[in-house]
Amino acid sequence: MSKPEETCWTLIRDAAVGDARARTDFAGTYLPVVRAYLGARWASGRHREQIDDAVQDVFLECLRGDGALSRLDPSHQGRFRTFLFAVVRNVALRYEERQARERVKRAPPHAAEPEALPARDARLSRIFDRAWVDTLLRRAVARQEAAAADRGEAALRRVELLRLRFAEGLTIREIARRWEEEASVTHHQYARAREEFKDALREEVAFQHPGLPGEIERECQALLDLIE
Amino acid sequence: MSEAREESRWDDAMERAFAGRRAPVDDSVLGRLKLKSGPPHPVLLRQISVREELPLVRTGGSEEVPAGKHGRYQVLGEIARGGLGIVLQARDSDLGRDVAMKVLPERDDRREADISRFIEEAQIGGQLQHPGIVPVYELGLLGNDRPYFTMKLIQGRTLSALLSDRADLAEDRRRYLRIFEQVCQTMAYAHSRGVVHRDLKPANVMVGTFGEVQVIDWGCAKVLLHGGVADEQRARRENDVLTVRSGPGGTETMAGSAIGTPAYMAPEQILGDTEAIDERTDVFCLGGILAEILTGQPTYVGDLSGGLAQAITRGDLGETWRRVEESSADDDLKEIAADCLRASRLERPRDAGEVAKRISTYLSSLETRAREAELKAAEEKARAQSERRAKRLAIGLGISVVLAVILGGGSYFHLRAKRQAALTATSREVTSILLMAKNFAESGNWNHAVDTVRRAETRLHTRAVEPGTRQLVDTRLREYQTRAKEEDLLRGIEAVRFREDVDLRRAEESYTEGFQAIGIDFQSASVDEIAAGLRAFSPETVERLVRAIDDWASRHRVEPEVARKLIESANEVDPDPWRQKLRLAMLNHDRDLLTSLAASLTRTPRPPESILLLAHALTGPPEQDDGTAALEVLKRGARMHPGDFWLHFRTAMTGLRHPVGNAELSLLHARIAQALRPDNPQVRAVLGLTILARPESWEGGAEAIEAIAEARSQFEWTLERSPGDPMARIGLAGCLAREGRSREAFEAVAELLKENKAPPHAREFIHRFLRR
Repeated sequence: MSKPEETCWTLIRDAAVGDARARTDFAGTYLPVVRAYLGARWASGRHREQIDDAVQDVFLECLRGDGALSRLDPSHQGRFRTFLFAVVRNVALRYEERQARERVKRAPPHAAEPEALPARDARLSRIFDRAWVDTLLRRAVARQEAAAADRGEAALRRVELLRLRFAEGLTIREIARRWEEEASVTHHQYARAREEFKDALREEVAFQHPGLPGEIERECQALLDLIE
Repeated sequence: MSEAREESRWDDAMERAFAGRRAPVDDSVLGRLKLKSGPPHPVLLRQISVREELPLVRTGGSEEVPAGKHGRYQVLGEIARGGLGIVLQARDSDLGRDVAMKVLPERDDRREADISRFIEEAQIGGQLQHPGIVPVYELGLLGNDRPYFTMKLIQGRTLSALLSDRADLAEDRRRYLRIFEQVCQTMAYAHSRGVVHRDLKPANVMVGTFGEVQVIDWGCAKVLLHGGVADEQRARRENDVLTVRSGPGGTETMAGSAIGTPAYMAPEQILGDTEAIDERTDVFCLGGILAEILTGQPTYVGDLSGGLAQAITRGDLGETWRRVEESSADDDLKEIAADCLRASRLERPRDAGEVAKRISTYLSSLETRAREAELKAAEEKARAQSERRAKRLAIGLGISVVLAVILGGGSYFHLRAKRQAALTATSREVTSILLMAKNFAESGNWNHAVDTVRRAETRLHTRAVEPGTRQLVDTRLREYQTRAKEEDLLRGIEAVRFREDVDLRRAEESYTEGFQAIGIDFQSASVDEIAAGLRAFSPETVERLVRAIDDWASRHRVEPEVARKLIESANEVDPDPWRQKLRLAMLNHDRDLLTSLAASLTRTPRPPESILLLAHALTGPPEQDDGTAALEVLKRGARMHPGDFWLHFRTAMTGLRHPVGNAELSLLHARIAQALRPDNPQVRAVLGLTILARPESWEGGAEAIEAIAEARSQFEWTLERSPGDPMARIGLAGCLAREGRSREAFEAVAELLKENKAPPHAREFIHRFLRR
């Protein structure tokens, strides 16, 4: 998990200057998003086997000295999601155009396939957004866990409580029975655990979208909108 | 929005956040046992307080393996992370013990090859049962179907850490040799089960708190085939250790991919010579560990981006042997290290068992020597006492005389034995020095070999030696001096291929001058005279000269008469049948034979010079040849010899001459050539041209702008260092044309054409640019 003062922009800049930890974190965080988008874009067809190469190209484009990051206004602290989406989409288009050109060279003009430039960007951006949300939510859980590890056994138990509730589908009463405690106690812990999760998600959103508390709250709401 | 609605949105978020975190069914024995009296009370033994705590790099779970229970294991933290796995510390709740749990990192788990390698590591660890190998307890799947395996958790330090903490290299040497002996014995067992480790180094040897020594990290291990690598059929049936790769789904290439740690790698590993990897590859690494115990440094020292990579690929071990030789260790030990660190694997000890035996013998001899020294001291003491007693008794002159005679006789025999022992010791010392010299010689370090033999020679001036030793020293000295002289002569010739600062356009002239320096003039001498001149050298030098001649003959600007002499004279002295066929095919213009030789390249690797010659032979006049045949040969060659600059450079150049469909290939190889010779201006110019040759550079858009800018920077770089370079001037003109400055572009190339400085293929480029 990232350092407290870090944002996605400091992470990417550290990664760009060769910080190994930042590079690992960067790739580990955004790889699922990039892969999900490219996987959906090239779900069938000849590009599928190029997904690995394209993922590499996206990271290269983000990290190399003269890449997309260098063309960004240094004062710009906007949505990293938008930035990453632009990069991944450009890389995908580059692959598709290159292949289309190859095909045009080899085949008569009427053989050029219109599917080479897909007109389904809206659906694809939705897939990207979903993958983005999933990544942030997973990172929020990891944040909550890391914080709980510092706070102690009771905090870790609250994370487990959320897991039992949402991953195992147990009711609070069932959890209370399993833990051999009063349901009211479990309910109280559950409410606290939810607040801790919300805080963790806000921290994660602040990491991805540095800004004032109001902006972060708005971004959080936007994230919840994307789930619906 | 109502509060209920808002909370419901958060419910959805948390559901997604915790999705996939479903705990696996608690299949632990304690979890499944439903005893009426409740779960059995766990037995927990007293914890041993150890000096070194486990270096957990972080506590709790990770993104790959969240904290919490996974079956019977509670993840406690991360110990280490590498490309092939993350090692976690976990608690086995059934047995109440801590274990090391290895899981695949997130990025790898989708690749079947990585999963197979991971499972193979577990299977190898599971089947190798030896006190020196960390036992694998269990192979399983986590809740998200990620494979893991658990192993014994070792508490201790790596040999690497222990060695680097020494204040003095001689400190505790015997202890480290005992550790090394155990490593050798462990590896002897692994070799007997047909497994080579491939990444042996001090960092992969754990020395436990109670002195136990274990070889760890079998992630690079390879399961050998029965009866040697050639016997593959039988191996597939009868591997001693059975793994997923030895099963029907296995792939040979994966088993042989080049892996290991460069500072300790055997030459065959770094060269990717997968067929050659066997027990002796580990023996080389064992030599590296021994060298580090003796000298404090690994086999190769340096930075991969510097000369280290070249030293490794050339098997240049001179520096390593020098360090070993200069260490304060006994000659026997130096000899073991030198034998293990032979560049030619066939000359190394056959397997780790042989090394273990030699080390054990050495350690026993140390003990014997120590015992003998004690015995001698005791005898001395006893003798002194008896002498004192004798003095005190002084029982008469007659008896004294008799005693003197007896003692005199004893002294004579004692002196004779002492002289013989000195003779043997000197001979052994000289033999050991000669062996070291042989090692230098084998790595081509002839001057060092001569110096080392001279050291042996100085021993002969002052001490007597056994018969034959003096002659041996003289023979070796003469041989190495001859080779050292030849080496000096070869240096000028081989500079064309290997020196980074060589002017690429002057290769032909450099060869002419180089051969003239050794008394061979291809301009004026006949083929017979040239062959006779070549035969005057040792067979090894002839082989190298022949390769240089092939390289020379493969160049485009060689005059036809000289080219014929090169080919004919090389065939006179070169016994290699494949190369003879190639040259005959060239002389007879036998295209069919050339094509069949090209096809045979896939079966048997050939030296880079022969591949370049074949590619040259397959290159026809530009109007009749599209370059496909030559490019195919060059591509294969570059795959066979990935570190050979000329193969990449020639592939790039050939691709440039035939740009249709080859632009990307040309660019790729130009980039590799540039990486191999980063400071060569001509390579930069060619790289710039390959960038310009791509259709993308001409078809508009941001990509084209970037490409032109990159190409332009290459040409400018070249012209700064080599202002008249025609390629760079043409390229720069191309960039000007692309920027719409056609008149300037035209003037630049017109000037070049007027000066008649553009080589024929460069003229082609000019025309192409002007057409655009």
